[in-house]
Amino acid sequence: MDLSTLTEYLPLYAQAAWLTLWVGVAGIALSFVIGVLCAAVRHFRIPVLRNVAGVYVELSRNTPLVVQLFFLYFGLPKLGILISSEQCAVIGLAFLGGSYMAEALRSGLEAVESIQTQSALALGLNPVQTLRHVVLPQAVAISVPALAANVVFLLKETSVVSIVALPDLVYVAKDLIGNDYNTVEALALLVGFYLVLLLPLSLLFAWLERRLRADGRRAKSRAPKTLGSWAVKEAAHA
Amino acid sequence: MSDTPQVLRLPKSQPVLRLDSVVKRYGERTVLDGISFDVAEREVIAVIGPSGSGKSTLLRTVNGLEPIQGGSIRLDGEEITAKGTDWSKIRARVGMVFQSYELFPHLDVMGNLLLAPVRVAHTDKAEARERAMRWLERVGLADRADAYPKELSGGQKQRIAIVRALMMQPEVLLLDEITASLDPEMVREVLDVVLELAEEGMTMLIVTHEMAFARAIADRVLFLDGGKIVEQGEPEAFFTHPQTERAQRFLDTFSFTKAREPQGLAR
Ligand SMILES: Nc1ncnc2c1ncn2[C@@H]1O[C@H](COP(=O)(O)OP(=O)(O)OP(=O)(O)O)[C@@H](O)[C@H]1O
Ligand SMILES: [Mg+2]
Repeated sequence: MDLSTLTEYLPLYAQAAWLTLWVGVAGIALSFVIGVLCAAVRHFRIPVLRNVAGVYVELSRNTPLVVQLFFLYFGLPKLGILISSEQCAVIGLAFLGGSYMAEALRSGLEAVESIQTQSALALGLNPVQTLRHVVLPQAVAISVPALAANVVFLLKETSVVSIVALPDLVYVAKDLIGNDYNTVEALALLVGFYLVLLLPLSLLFAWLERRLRADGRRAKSRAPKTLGSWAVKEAAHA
Repeated sequence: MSDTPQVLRLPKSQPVLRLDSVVKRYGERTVLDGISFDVAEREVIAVIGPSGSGKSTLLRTVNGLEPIQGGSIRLDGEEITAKGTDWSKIRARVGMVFQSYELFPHLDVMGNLLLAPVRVAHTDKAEARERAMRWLERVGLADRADAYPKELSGGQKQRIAIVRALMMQPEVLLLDEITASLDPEMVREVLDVVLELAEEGMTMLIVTHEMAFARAIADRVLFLDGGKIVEQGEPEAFFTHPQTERAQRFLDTFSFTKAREPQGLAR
């Protein structure tokens, strides 16, 4: 490995890493917004919209990001809609991530037992107050590990955006390998930069998750006896 | 006078609650089949009956957690089952405590107690906090105000749940088998709180499987079976001489008679 090659390449990679990072952050932020909306319309069974959300989630989760990006980059211009590489990458990432965020949030919402809602309603809280002060705080806490995993997953997924001609880390590496044949240096920097982006994040989330799990274990000792006998009763009448 | 909190008492001529031919169905199943009764102010009514007879459903119709399909329910003479009822307003006046406590796990005890008074009744926070502390002292949990629900025993959680309902100064309190999830040694501490409330004139509708408790606390017992009030009466009369064979059979399931000859080392 040649040190002067490394230092020569470093600025190129830094620039590309910056691009990767902001495409990732923008895409992830958008996917969170999409996720909240989809989780809400599905959880509250809002007619029509919940079906739209359902179709979207399946479509998004069962097609590769590369294919989604191809559609945006080559398909949309055919319909007369022109978007830049950056826009294409951000939208593609949001399209993919939205469904993952939605499912993470929805499972959090579903994990909050309905009797908690009833207990809040019984105190006189209206449905919006119940959601805001009782259901959401619990649901988000439950969703955090899954949301965190999605953030890491989506940041890694940004590595395919070079196919829409976006000069991200992978693009730069491929370019340098093709032009200069400094394969070792190019690859080392590629791996190094992804680690610098992702490792601190992973460690942070792992720590967060450990903390939440420690809390959750103690919270679980709440005896759900009503629900147990409920299920049995329901089964007996089925 | 004394600074211990008291339950709200208002002079009233009409019943606090009046249920008239209440019908509740789940699809084809009729769960409440024409239930009618009044609850007078300061009256304590025990609702007993076999599992699945509709006791919980009955309580839940009173604060609108279950909509009804027939009949009517009145609170202070006002029909609350009419169309367009703002249930949040009604529920603020009707307290309910569940078998499984349902404290909010993300809030500490004080947070649990203040949520409804501050958000719903718009009580001044300092005032609500003071009221909460006095109630906590009364139920012997003043030192647990900062604890989270997961740090409390079942009996403590249930006492907090009762206080949480009382914080809204309800006109009537609905208790649904509030000791059924508790270990036996914790039942007493919870029932003592309820007995005190009864003595102070809290109007209550109590679903319970604790027959001795029902007998001690109730002014009237309603025996429910198959969604109907099969029998009702004063506790002494009901528990010693039930009029219906169905009630007799139900009460028999709570008593044990010695079936075996005494065994042991005869000398
Ligand atoms: N959401 C529901 N959907 C369908 N059936 C229900 C529902 N809730 C209750 N039931 C039925 O209504 C009947 C009365 O239920 P309820 O819970 O009121 O009985 P209960 O007297 O409180 O019984 P327990 O002593 O076991 O608590 C039962 O047969 C139950 O299966
Ligand atoms: Mg019940």
